[in-house]
Amino acid sequence: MAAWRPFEPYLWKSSGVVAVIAFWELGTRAGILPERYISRPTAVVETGLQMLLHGGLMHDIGVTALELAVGMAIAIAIGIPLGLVAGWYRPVRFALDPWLAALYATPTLGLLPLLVLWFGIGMHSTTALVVLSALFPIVINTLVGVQSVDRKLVRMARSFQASELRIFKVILFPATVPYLVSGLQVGLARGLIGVVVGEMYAARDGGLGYLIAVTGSSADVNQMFVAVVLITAAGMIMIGAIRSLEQWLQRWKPSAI
Amino acid sequence: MSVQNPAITTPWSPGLFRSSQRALIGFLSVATGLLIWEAVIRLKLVSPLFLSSPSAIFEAFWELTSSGELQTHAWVSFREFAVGLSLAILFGLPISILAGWSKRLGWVLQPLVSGVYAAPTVALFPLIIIFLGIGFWDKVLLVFVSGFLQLFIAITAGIRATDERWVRLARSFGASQSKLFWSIILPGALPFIMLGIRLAFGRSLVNVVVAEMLAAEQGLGYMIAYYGNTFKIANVFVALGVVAVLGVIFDQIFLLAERRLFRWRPPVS
Repeated sequence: MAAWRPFEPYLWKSSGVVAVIAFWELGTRAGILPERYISRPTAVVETGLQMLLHGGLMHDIGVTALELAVGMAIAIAIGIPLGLVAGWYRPVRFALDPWLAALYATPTLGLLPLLVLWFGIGMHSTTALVVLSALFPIVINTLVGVQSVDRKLVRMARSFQASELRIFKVILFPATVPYLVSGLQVGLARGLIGVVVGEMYAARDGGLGYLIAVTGSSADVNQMFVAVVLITAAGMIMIGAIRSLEQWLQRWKPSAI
Repeated sequence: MSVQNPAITTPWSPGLFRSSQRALIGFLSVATGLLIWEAVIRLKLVSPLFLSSPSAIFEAFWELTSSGELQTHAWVSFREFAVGLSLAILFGLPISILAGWSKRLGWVLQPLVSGVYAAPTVALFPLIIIFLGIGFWDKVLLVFVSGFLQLFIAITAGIRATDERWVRLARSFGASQSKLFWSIILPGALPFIMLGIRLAFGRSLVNVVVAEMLAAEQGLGYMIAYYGNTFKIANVFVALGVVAVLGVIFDQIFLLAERRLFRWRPPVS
């Protein structure tokens, strides 16, 4: 066995990314690839630094982050209680089911023109879109999680005179957590799409999606790539954060396999 | 719905009308909702500029279909959707299966794909417009990219989930690589392939609509944006409803076809 064996996956994994970036950089420098259309990695970094130091990049990042954070907070504040109640009380679920089905089928992003009418162009309509985008996966996953609870455990707790609150704390909530986390993960991914599309469609106060739309219509690809890269990085960081949150919440559990 | 990578979680299906109690409560809930909605508009609690009533939406649907406007736009969207998705399946299927099968190719492609997958694909749309202009092919490319990514994520995960014991079993009986692939890897990954295609269906439809909202002169998304900007709320709801219904119909046809095709296989939840 060669000593480099354990490093082989990392070597291959980085090779693809490095090759693409190198080809992109060298190709545009050599004039094989049209820099006017696809920009150049070093130019993107340069533009990014410049925008950070002299332009309003921090402002745009702040606007997008604020819309996403507020929207997610509202979606969680509505979604988790709604999912818990609908999962626990069957009549509530039966009443909600057709509405959830309709909401699930409707592309939330298509509601954007209506949201713009209701909340005006700017941060409010984008935040509302984030709420609508993230709400559904959170509600559904919480609901499914509650239903997955082992009924025998609940019956046992009842026989031992446990209060509803205690059943919720000790049985219901721990069983729901994994579903909840995966709902949050999907919700966050949808929320990110919502914030970007919302800003691209109708923004006034700035934001990364707004930056993409503005620089796209003026064909300023360098600045556009800065925004796209930042959004991608945000997506990766958020997915990673949720994954570690999940692991942290699951640490009490004995490993399944 | 289970706890795994969100890219490969099964889409939720509501399973309506499983019991009569369920049907009754569901019906009452919808009927009450619609009545309140209609009443709010009729009593002029909300300006019709901001919200339309169910009856007005039905009327608008009638008008838009009898003039043929709705069908024209729907056909445009459908073509973009169908061409883009077909291309995505055509290229995505073999590449993802190879990337799942060959460890090294998977290592090379995985970080690239999950990098692009982390961002909303729509963010690339202005760039696509710079390449291709506003028209038919820009939407096709957007659908292709998002469909390809979705397929790749789901299928490579599926192939990697193949039970190691079967592979070892086949190897100890001296199965060739191709025998191993066709008899174990591919059949095992089929549910994930189907799931990937089904997820790509949903994503593609949404992406067509959003792309048309952002930059187009026809299509259902264009209708949504145009009538939104001109305060014809009822027409917006009609277009949205058509998108939703199309989505459900595609999904059901797909599930039906899947059931027909894979009767031999025990269901995988």
